[in-house]
Amino acid sequence: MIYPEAITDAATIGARPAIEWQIRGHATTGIEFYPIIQPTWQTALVEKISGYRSLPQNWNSYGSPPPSPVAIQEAIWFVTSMLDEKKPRPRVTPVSGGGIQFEWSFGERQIEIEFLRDGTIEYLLADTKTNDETPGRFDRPSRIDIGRLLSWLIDA
Amino acid sequence: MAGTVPTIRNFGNAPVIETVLSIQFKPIPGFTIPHFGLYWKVIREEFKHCENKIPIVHMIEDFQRGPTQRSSGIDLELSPERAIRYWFMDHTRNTFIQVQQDRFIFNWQRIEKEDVYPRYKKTREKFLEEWEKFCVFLTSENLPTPEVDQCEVTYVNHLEYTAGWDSYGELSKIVSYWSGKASGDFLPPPEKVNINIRYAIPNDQGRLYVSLQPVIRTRDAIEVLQLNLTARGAPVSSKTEDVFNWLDLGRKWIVQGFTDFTTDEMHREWGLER
Repeated sequence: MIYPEAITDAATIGARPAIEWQIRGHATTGIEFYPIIQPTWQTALVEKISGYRSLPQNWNSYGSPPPSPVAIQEAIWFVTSMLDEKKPRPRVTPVSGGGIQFEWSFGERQIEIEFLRDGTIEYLLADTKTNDETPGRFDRPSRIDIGRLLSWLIDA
Repeated sequence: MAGTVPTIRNFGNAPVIETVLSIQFKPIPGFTIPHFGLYWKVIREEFKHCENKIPIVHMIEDFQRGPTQRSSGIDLELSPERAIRYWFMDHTRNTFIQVQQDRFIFNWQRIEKEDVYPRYKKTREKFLEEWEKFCVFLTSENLPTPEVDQCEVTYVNHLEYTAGWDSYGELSKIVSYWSGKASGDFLPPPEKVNINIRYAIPNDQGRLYVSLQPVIRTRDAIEVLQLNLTARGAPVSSKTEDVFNWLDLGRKWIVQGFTDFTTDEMHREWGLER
C-alpha cells in the first residue's frame, strides 16, 4: 500500500500540472519526477525516452546526434502532462537532428508530433484518403489542444 | 527554545535534494485572496517570483484511526473564498515560501548539482524569521494568530545508480532492512523496488513516513531512487517555541530514521560524522 500522506509539501523544480496531478493535494515538495514502477504505457514510454540519453552520436548511421536533453525533457513532459491511459498510445522514436517524434495512426489518418532539438514542437496531420497534409507548430500545447488532435484522428 | 537546535549526527555529503518545513493551522478567518498580494509585498524584495499552485489538503495524524484528510473548511460548500496556494521564490529559485489559507511552508531545493545544502540550522533560522514575519503581517491586518494543528518536515533524497550501487539486485547495499535474499533460486534480482513504511513516534507525537521508489527525474531524465522521509504531528501548543520544538523532533526522526534505514556502507559514501 502506498501512503499518500507520505508524499508531502515538496515541489521539486516547478511541478507542472500532470506531475502535480500524481501528488495532488499532498505535494509540499517542488521535486518534479515520474514514478516508474506503475504498470502503465506512460511508464514504459518515459523509461524509453529516458533511455535515449545513452544513444551514441551517429546512432542512425547517418551522422545524427542523439536526442537533445531539451527534446528529452519536453517529450517526458508531454507524456506525463498531456497524455493519459484513456488516450491512444503513440509510437515514439528518435529522429535525425536530435529530436523525438510521436506518431498515432488510425485508418487513413496519421498524426506526427515532433520535439525538435531546441525544444520546439511541430506537428503534421496527414490524411491518405484525401492526400491532405496540415503542418503546424505548438508554442506549448494544452490537454485541450492534444484532445482536439486525437479527436481528429478517430473522427474520420 | 525556539532559537536552539539539538545536536545529532549529520551527513557531510547527504544525497538530499529538497527539504521542507511546514506549519499547518486552522484556516484563518478573514484571510482572503487579496491578503496573498499584501503578504507578497512584505517579502517581495527577497522573494521576487510567484506561482499559483493547487492547494494541499489539510492533513491530521489521528491516533484513533490513522492519518486522515480533513476539510480545511475553505471549500466551496463552506465558504465563498477559493482555496489557493502560492509559491514565493527567491531569485535562485532554490528557496521558496508557500502560503495557503491553512499552511505556511518553507522549501529549499537543489536545482544545480553544485548547489550546497544549507543545513538544518540555517534553514530553521530562516524559517523562524519568515514565520515571525508572517505572524506580524497577520497582526498588522487585524487577523488572528494561527491556531497550529500540525507540523511537518520532509527530506527528499535522490540516490543515483553510480553512487555505491548500480542495480536493484544491490539494494541491500543501500537499505539496511533489505536482505536481497530469496528463499529459493527461482526469482531473478528485482527489476524495480518500491518500499513504503510508516512508523509511530512514541506518545502520539506524530508519525514518520518513509518511501523509496524508482523515479525519472524530469529535469534531466535520469532514473534515480527517490527516498522521501516525512515526519508529521501536532505541537504541544501554537506557541512558536512549541512549534519549532516539534520541527526539531521531526527533523531528528528524519535524520536518525534515514541513518537506521540505510547501510553503513552508504553512510561512509555520504560522510556520516562520527
